[in-house]
Amino acid sequence: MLLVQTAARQECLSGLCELLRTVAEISGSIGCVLWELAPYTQGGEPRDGRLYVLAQWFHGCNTSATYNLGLDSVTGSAILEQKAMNVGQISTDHRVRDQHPFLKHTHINSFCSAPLTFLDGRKGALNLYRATPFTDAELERLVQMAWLVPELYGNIRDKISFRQIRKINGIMQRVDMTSSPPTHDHVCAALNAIVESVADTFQSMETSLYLRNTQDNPAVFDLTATSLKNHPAKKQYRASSEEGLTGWILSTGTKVRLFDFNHFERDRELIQQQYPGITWKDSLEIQALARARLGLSVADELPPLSFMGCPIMTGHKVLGVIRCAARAREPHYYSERELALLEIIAEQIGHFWVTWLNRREIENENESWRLLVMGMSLMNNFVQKEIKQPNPDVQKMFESALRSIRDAISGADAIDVRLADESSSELRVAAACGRFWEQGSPREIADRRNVRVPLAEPSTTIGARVMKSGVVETLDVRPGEYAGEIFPGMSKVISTPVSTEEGIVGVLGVQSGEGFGRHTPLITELLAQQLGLYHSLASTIRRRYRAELEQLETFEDLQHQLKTPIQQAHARMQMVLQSESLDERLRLDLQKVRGLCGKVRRVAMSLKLFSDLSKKRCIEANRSRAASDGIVKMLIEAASDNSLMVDAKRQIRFSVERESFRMLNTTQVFLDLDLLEQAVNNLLDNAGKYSYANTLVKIYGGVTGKGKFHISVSNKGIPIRPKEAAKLAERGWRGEDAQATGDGTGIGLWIVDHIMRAHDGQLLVIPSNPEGMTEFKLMFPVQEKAIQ
Amino acid sequence: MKILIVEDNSIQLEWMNDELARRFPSAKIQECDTEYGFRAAFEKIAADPPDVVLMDVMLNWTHPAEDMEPRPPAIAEAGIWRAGIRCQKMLRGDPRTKDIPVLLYTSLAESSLTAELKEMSPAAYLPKDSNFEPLVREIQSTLKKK
Repeated sequence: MLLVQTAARQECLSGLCELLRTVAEISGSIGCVLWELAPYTQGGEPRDGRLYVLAQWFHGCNTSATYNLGLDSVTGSAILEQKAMNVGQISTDHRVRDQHPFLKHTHINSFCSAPLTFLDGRKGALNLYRATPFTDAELERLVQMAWLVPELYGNIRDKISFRQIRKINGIMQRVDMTSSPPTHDHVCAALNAIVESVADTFQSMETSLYLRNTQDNPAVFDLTATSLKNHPAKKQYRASSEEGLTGWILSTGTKVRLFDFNHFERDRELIQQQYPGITWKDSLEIQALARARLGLSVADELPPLSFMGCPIMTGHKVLGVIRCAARAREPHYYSERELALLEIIAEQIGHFWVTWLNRREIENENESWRLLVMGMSLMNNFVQKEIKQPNPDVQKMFESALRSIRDAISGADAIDVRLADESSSELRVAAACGRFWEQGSPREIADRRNVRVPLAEPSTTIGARVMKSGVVETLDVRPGEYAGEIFPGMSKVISTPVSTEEGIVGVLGVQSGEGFGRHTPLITELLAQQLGLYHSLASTIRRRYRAELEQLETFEDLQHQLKTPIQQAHARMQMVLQSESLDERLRLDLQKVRGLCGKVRRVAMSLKLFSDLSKKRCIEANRSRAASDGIVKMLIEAASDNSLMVDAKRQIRFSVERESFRMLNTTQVFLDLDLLEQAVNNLLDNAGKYSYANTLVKIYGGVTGKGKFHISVSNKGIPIRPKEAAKLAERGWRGEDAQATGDGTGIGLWIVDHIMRAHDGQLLVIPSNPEGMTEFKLMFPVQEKAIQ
Repeated sequence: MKILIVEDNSIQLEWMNDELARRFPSAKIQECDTEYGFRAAFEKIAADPPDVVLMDVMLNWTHPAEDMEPRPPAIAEAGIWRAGIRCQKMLRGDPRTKDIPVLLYTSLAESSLTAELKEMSPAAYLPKDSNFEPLVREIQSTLKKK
């Protein structure tokens, strides 16, 4: 009853010592030791077995029992024979072969030993020590208590285990994973709290947690949390049996429990029977640390340094490890039950870590997509500007594209686009970004960019393979592989074909030292598609520009060929019309022919001007001083020709107000008469097309209040709305109503506008007034002195 | 004999009128110079059908006028490029006018009208030319077949 009450009061594993104290006190003993048989000797030869002190209590002295004992001892016999042993006089009992110092120092003369079986099936013994011999009745009571102690210890352990699991759940629940994922520091703080709690529960000198920071890079496990404060634990482990006990757990995904790793060399064979390939080197440094922690001198026997570690798994993949080493208080050994508890804790941590990694991955993915959309938008803005050029620069487009999108490709240390040269024998770098491409002097950067990747068979380069197959490749690269294409230290590569409708034109490569996000291949593929589109767009624009240039040159040539015969036809027609012997009918027909010739001449000139303007050449005005007579004569002829071009039934008349041009005799205006004729005729042509029947087209001139000379054409016809007025001079723009009533290309006023610019003047369009009158004004600058 | 000319260029129309009057002095010549004009006159044409129609292809919808009829949306979208084809379709769609021979007389190249020529099967396609003889011969041949 007393034992049960004692057990119920215990809140930690070292409560086992309190149980032993009660056992000792009940039996009037000065000491009690609970021995445990190392598990790897079970089924083996007895001589291979070893007894370890699990816990002990001695009254009034700080001396301890030896920590391990051979099976050839009395206690060993009690276990092997499953029979209680009673040693009345230690000094004379022949069964006691090796009298340990602690027996002498404490004046212990007698002891008895009762075998027991722990709850996990392991064997052990409960020993009592005192100065006087034990009676048979006392031995019998010890046997009963030996049966009870493992049960009560089990109860203490279960209670602590339950509390531990609840505590860890509480810590994890306080980390909110429902909205945006917590930061790495926040999660590590929670894991540190868990690790400290585990260290406290297991009474470990060290508990450490190593985890992979991503789900895709199995190579490295970082120290994520540790209970060690003053002496830092190793920062990183790799999954390799060469990296000690922890490395072995990581490489095999198997849990480990060692009774005393401080004597690994001594027990190597036995340990490796259970854990094949596991290695450890006894460490003086760890011994010194343990002594310091336990307050022991070098002369004192070091208690066993027990070890247990569990892999943290996600499916079949090892995500990390949690390990506990060297107990600071008794019981000195991690039991199977405690290893089982550590396994549950490892599962909890694994679930927690994977949930966080997934949340972070989703968040990163969302961020990447957001950056991708922003990057695409920036890319498209740049490309939009670039494709307005007649000869868009693909290299500049690609450079801008990579710059805009680099942040969206998580994990990328180097990004490049390589395009096949014209002979398709090599890939050359068209654009690149990332720290590896950008480091070094300008010369070094240029040299790096000049490296070509051969495309010849057999395809020994990644670029050549992707160019040939058209399939995305995601590779794990070993050091030294693909030296011409991959930077040193890179371990992952994604290589994606850049395709246009004409085939594969190049390869987009992304390199990483640490690994990519899960979505990086998809983003890379999207980027490659976009680059293919830009390439295609730029090629089409270049082709069209070349074709347009050829077309414009043809226009120019035709105009040149037309010019002289048309001018001559026009001139000779003038001569014939000046003859007095023509009858009226013939004169009218000839006038029409002259009008048609004039129209052809203007169309030819429009072709020339259109060609010049399309090639971004400015119109050149050969200006000379305008004389009133010359201007009026040209205007009358233009009015006459255009009136003959209009359907006579519509009764549209053209009139020139001669008087309004008289001021040219006193005003100096300089203009190119040929270009003016072209501009005026374009305006009159429009007036003829868009005027209502039975209306008058008026041509007049003058000087405005602001000192500008103007030639104006006013008519009443299809109205021009104020919002249309500004657009009329744009190339190809035609008013809605105008399209219903007349054919045209929408370049007439565009040319007039440029003719006026060549004169430092302006085409002014005055929208229809309430009476329906519309005005087009050609505004020219006037020499100021002459105005006075 | 009655000849209908559908043509929007006034100088071309005047010349064709003069030439036809000279070659076929007894012919009654009618004119339409816009698509809207043709549609407005259609009932009159159907009631007293011409013997042959000389049809231009590109026609303005109407003349500028304060009260001008706006283009129906479908025609506004299609533009002036196939106005003559639409007029011919009207002729083919009415039992009173479906058999009137239509000669497409246009500046558009035959190659750019391949689909329309197949679909509409006009009596003939003739490119506009300063030589009026081919058109005269085609009119004579068409009238003989009637």
